[in-house]
Amino acid sequence: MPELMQIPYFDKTDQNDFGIIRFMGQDENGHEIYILGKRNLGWRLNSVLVGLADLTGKKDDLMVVNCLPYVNWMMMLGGFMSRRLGLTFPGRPILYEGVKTSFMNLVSMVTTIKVKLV
Amino acid sequence: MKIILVGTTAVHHPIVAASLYTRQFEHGQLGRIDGYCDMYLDKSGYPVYVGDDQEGNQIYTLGLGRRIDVGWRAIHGFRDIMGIPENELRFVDVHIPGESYIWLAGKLAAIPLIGYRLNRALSDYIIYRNINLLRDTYSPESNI
Repeated sequence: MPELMQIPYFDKTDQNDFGIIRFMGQDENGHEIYILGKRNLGWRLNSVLVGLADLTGKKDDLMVVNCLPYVNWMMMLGGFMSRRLGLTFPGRPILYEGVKTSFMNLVSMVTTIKVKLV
Repeated sequence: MKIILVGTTAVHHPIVAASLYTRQFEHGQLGRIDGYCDMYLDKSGYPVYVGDDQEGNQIYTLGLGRRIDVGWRAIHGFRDIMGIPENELRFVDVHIPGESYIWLAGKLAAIPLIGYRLNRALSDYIIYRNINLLRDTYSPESNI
C-alpha cells in the first residue's frame, strides 16, 4: 500500500476534483499523460473530448482511454468508503485489494496503448 | 472562431439559443429547428453544428449531461492542455429554469412509441415558457 499512496492523487481527491484534467507525467516517447475523473458522465465525456479535438483539428493529438472497465467492485466500494464517506479505514485496504486484483489488467491496457502508439 | 453553446443536452435549449443567435429561428414552431429534440444526435456526444453568425463565427451546441459542472471543467481543461486560445474556441453556458426536466425529457425519449412525444411535449412546454429569456440572452445583437 505505501507505494500506491505515493502516486499523486491516488485516493486523495474529493467531489470537486471530478472533471479536472490533471497532468501525471510523460511516457518514454514524450507523450503527455493526463487523468480525468468523469463521475457518471462516462462515455459521453469521451465523445465530447474526441469531438472537440476533431473540431479543432487536433484529433491526432488526443487519445482518450476509458479505464472504467478495469475498475472492479472492491475499487468502487473502497473508493466510495474512503472518499465519499471519509472512512479511510476500512475503505483504503479494500481499495488496495481491488487495485491488486486489477493490476495486471491495467498493465496489459497500458502495454496495448503503447503498442498502438508506436 | 468556434462558439459552442453548452447545456445539459445539445438538442434542446442550447440548439434553440443557437438558432436564435444565428437568426435561423425567430418565431413559430420549435419543431422547425433542425435537430431539435433529436436524441440520436445528442447521444453522439459530438458538438452539433447549427450555423454561422453574422460575424462568420461557427456556432455549435454541446450536451454535457446532468452533471454539467464536471463536463464544464473538463472542456475548459481540454482547451488549456491542447493550447487552444479562447478566441478560437469559446464555450458559452446556456441555462434556463427547468433545464433538469429537459434532461429528464431526453431520457424519456428512450421509451418505445411514446418517448419522442413525451420528450417533445415536456421540452416544448419548458422552452416556450422561457423563450423570451433565450431570445433576450442569445439575440444576434447580444454579445454572448
